[in-house]
This record gives sequence, structure tokens and C-alpha cells, in this order.
Amino acid sequence: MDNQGKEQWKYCIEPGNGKAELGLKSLWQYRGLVYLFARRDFTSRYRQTLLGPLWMFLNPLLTTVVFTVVFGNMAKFPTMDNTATADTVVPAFLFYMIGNILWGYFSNTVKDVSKTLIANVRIMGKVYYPRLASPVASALSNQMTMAVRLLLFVCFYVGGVACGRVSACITWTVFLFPLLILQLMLLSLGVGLIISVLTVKYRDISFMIDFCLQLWLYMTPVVYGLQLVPERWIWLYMLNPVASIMTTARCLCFGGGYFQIFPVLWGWAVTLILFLAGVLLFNRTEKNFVDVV
Amino acid sequence: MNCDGMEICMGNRMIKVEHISKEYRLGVIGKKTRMDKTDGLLQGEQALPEIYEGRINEKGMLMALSDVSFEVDAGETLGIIGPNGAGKSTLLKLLTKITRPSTGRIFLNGQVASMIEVGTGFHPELTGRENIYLNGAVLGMSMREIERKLEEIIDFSECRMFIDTPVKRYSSGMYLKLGFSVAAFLDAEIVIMDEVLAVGDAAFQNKCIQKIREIAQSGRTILFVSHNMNTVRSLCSRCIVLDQGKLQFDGEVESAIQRYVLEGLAMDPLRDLEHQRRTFHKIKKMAHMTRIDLFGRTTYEMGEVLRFRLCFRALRILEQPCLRVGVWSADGTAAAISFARLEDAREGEHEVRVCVDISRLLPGKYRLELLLVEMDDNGRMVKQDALRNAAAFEVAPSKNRPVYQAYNRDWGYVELPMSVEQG
Repeated sequence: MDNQGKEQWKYCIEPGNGKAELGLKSLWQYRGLVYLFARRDFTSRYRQTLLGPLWMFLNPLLTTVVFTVVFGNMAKFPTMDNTATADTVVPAFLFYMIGNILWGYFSNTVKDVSKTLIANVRIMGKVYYPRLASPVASALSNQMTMAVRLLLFVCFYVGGVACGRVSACITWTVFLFPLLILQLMLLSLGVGLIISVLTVKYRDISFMIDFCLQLWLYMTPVVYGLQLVPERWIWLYMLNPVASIMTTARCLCFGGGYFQIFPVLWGWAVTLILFLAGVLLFNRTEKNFVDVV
Repeated sequence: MNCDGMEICMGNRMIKVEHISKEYRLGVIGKKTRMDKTDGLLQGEQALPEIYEGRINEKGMLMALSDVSFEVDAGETLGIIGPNGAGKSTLLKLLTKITRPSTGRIFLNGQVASMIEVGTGFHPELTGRENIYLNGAVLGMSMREIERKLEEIIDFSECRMFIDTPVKRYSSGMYLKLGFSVAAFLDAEIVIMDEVLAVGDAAFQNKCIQKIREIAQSGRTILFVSHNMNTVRSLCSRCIVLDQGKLQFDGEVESAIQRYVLEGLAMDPLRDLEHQRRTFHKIKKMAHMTRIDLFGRTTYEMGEVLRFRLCFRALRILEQPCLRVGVWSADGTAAAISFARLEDAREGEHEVRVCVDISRLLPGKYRLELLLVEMDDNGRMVKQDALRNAAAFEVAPSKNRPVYQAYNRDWGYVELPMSVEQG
């Protein structure tokens, strides 16, 4: 009986420095857990609050109002992505709102994902489940929040069209919107996972996140239109993958604006590389991180 | 062994642990940052607790487990025992993939589910029902499986009235009961349990043991870690003993327990205590026991007294020193204790002759725990030296007391003097 080959065994646990793997298969096996984690994050967030889920709307509404007043009315930033025609002028409120919703999703996901290893160390030290379930779940729960907020955006948009303040120029391209969201999700997961791996060893990084995200926000056309950026620096500016996501999103919603194929392809390339790097690094660290934290 | 399940039949072997070791870095981890360096220096001066002595390898890492190998067959309930810091939890963490071994491999022939510290992973804001789903999924159940077992779980937990209340309002007992109940309904082929039995009140504990017995009888493989020897005795079919990260014993339960309790203590009438392991952490102590001499005897008949000579060294004048002798039964229970005042001892070597009246001790194997303490002015004892295993001896039944020939453990450890007046 004893000299059976090891192919007889179903599972084998080996020292952690083995081969790199994505681990998406085991994640699929635990999809129920991912769903429950996401639902837990989503539902427990507004428990025992007076206004409950209303906060989901209030948050972006308030920020949008502030942005409109501060950046639109006072600083008078252009809400146009293109220097060309005047008909692409977007009402400041809607302009800031869509930017806010997308950026909010991105930065919240990066922040949540970067905290997963540290925040879940107690449970991860007790039971094994595919560790990737936690970050993916926080991305999904943020996505649920974003979906609700996008619904609010649609209401304002339709309202704007009805009042004649917005010219509806939606074409079939609006169906490409989910692709943008997917890209945003992969990008934020990638960045968040890389940060989470680094924070396991160096906690300093968690102090930097807020500041870096703030900086990143100002390097992205969220509070201003691309028109503000000098023409000859646009190529450099568009190397930021979130920038192309923002401008493309506004193109899809309002028609016109800035759309170039190169920044989009570049953005996807960066996104995929960061995502893969993040997942591989995360899986490598996950095997022994309980000993280090 | 039942052999109709195909998977169970595959060689009958469920777990094979091959030469696994696990090393941990000592001190602060990630010492590369500037601020931590000073910390590390300060910590370097602190001595390591003695249970870890001799476990540092050439790389300066602590060996939590070194070269452990064993195998488990399907349907076995394997007990894992050993003192604190022996590596039991580390072993479980490796088996459940929570962390990886440094070297060696583990082969498994089935899904592993762990019931380590039940109730972790509950979210306080969610209701009991929601937490059952969440905890079940964390432990590896599919949604359909949980749905199927939900009612059973709720019934078992005795929390039906509160099942739709957030668990943050639960009492700690209810919390644990619910946690155990979810874990108890896992379907994995290999179940790992760590001290889960300390759950709830006595009645619920019995229910838990009953449930574990059921799981064991259903042909699944169980690894069971506990400090309670009686539970180990009643549940396990085989036992391994870990000590200082090494596998000390693998075999029959009763011998394993004796092995653990006596720590492989041979019945030696003369023992050198100079380099024996001390039970407290290494802080400057003012006395050191060096030798115990039982005058060539380790077996006593009931009714005899135990005499020994103890040598110790005082590192300064000991004021109001006291000798405490604990008698522990081989099944891990304290059986009796006695105290004696010593004369104030000057610095240097000393020798005392001790006589302990063990005439009332029932037959069985025992070990001696010796403590040298100083009484301070408030009558508090200050430990100066402590040895968990100073010596071992056996009490044999006596021909004069035939009633104790049929002695068994349920009778206790000590016979009390009794007198009866009639009329």
C-alpha cells in the first residue's frame, strides 16, 4: 500500500515559494462566499444609521454640489474635454456627477482592497478560504453602490433632457459603458492588491494612500475638463489610465468630447498588467502572510 | 473498515505528512525599517522563554515544527497532545493551508474543514441567520448545502428565538453555540478540531461531544487537539504527542497520554536536575535545585511513605524558604499537594531530606512537581525555582488492602481516613 505514487493523492500542500498561480478556479468554487462577502459589506454598511441606504445617494450628491460650486462656479474650470465646438458643453452638475461616481468607485475600491489582508488577518489566521475572495468582494460591493449611484445619474440626465438643458446624444456606444466599469474594476483591484501586499510588511504605505489618491484625483480630469490641459502635454497626461476612462465615459454619456484610440488601448494594457501583477503578488504573499502580520 | 465508498478505499490513507518543518523569525518582523532597529536591539537582550531553547536553527529562526511525519487512515480519530508551545496549532495551520510549511510536504485525500475557534468570522451587524450563511461559506460549504442544513443548524444551536437578531446582541454563550453548530454540519472528509469543546454550558458540551462522536462514527477522519485528557481518551483511537516541535510519540492513546504527562520521564531514582527544563520563563531566580535522590526506589506499596533527598543551590540568602511538593497523576490531574517550611538558607549548596506521607495515595503512576518558594511578609509565595517533572514513582496495590486491588481511575486519587461509630 505504501509505495503508491503521489498521483493517488487529491491535494498536496507544499512550501510557499512554489509556482505562481492565478487561483481563479478556487475563487470560482467559492463564488458563494464572494457573493456573501459582497452582500455583507453592502448591507452592513448602512445598518443602524438613521437615513440608511439614502447615504448612498447623499454622498455623491453632496460632493457633486460642492464640486459644482467650488470648481465650476468659483474656480470656473471648463467642463469641456475638447477645445472644438461649443455644443459639447456639458452642464457642470452632470459633468461633476459622473466623474464623482466613477472616481469614488475607483478610490474606494483601491482603499478597501489595500486593507483586505490587514483587516481580515484575524479570520484568515483561523480558516482557509481563497484569499482573493475578500478583495474581489469589496470591489463587487463598491460596484453595487456605484450601480445605485449611476441610476441616480440617469434620473438627473433624463430630467435634464426633459427640461431641455441637456441635448441627448446617446448612441449605441453607450452599451460599451460596462467595459469601462470592468476596466475600472480590474485597475483598482490591481493597484489595491499591490498596495495590500506592500502594507503587510511596511505599514507606512497605508498612511500614504489617502495622499496619493488625492494627488491622483488632481491628475485625472474629474474636477475639470481636459480643455484645461495644454495641447502639447495631452499625450503625457493621457498615460494615466484613469484619465482615458473618464474622458471616454463622458464621450459615451454626452456625445462629443475627447476620444482617441491610443490612450484607450494604452489604458487597457496598463490595467491588465497591473491586475495580473497584483493577483500574482497577492497569491504569493497570501501563503505565508499570517506569519508576518 | 467499510470499503464501499470509492474515495475512502484509495489506499485507506487520508493524510500523509512528510518531514514537515516550519520556521518562524524571532523578534520584530520586517526589521528593515529604521525605527524598528532600536526595538530589535532592546529585544535582543531579553532571553527567550526556555520552552524555545535549543530550537533556534543555524539561520537564527525558531523551529516551531521540525521534521514531523505521520499518516492518518480514513475513519481514524487522531488526538494531538503536547504542552503549550509544542507546535500543535502550527501543525493545524499547516494542514488547513492557513500558512505553508518551510520544508516538507503534506498529502491529503479529501477536503479539510477546520473547527478552529468556532465563531470567528461572524459579523456583529448581521443576524444569526445571515451569519450562518456567511460562516458556512467561509468554512467551504456551498450555498445550496447551507440552505439544506439551515434548519438543522438552527435547531442544534438552540438559538431559534434570536436567529433574526444581529449577533452583536447575543450573549457570548449563544455566540459560541451558533459557531459550533455551523461547523458541526460540515461535510468535509477530514475534520480538524482545536479545543472546540469548551463551548457553552455542561449540557451543550455533552451535546457537542455526542455530535463529534457521530461525525467520527460516520467514517470521517478527525484530528483532535485538546488539553483535556479525558476528552481525548473518550474520543480518540490513536494519539500523537508533540513536544518542542518534534513528534515524540505516535500510537495508542493511553500510552500517549502517559508519555505526555510524564514527558517521557523514566522511573529514575536518582536524577540530575541541574539542566532540567524549568516551567517559568528565564528571569533571575535565586535558587536552583540540582539533584533529587529517591534512595533507589521508585515503587511503593500503598501505605508506605516517600523519602527523598533534595540538593539545591542558593544564590543569595533565602528568607523563609518553603518547599512545595505537588503530586500529579499520570493522567494529568493534580492529585495532592504538601508544604513544608525550610530553615533560612545561606548562599551556597544545601541538602534537605524530605519525607512525604503518600500512604493514602491510591495505586497508579505519579510524578512530583517541586517548587522552591520564598514567603514574603504578606504571606505571598515568590517562586525561586520550579520543576514540573522532578521525579516519577509508582504506587502499587498492597496485600494488606485487598479492596484496592480492583482499583480504577474513577475512584479518585486519595483515600480519606474514615471512622464509623455504631450503636
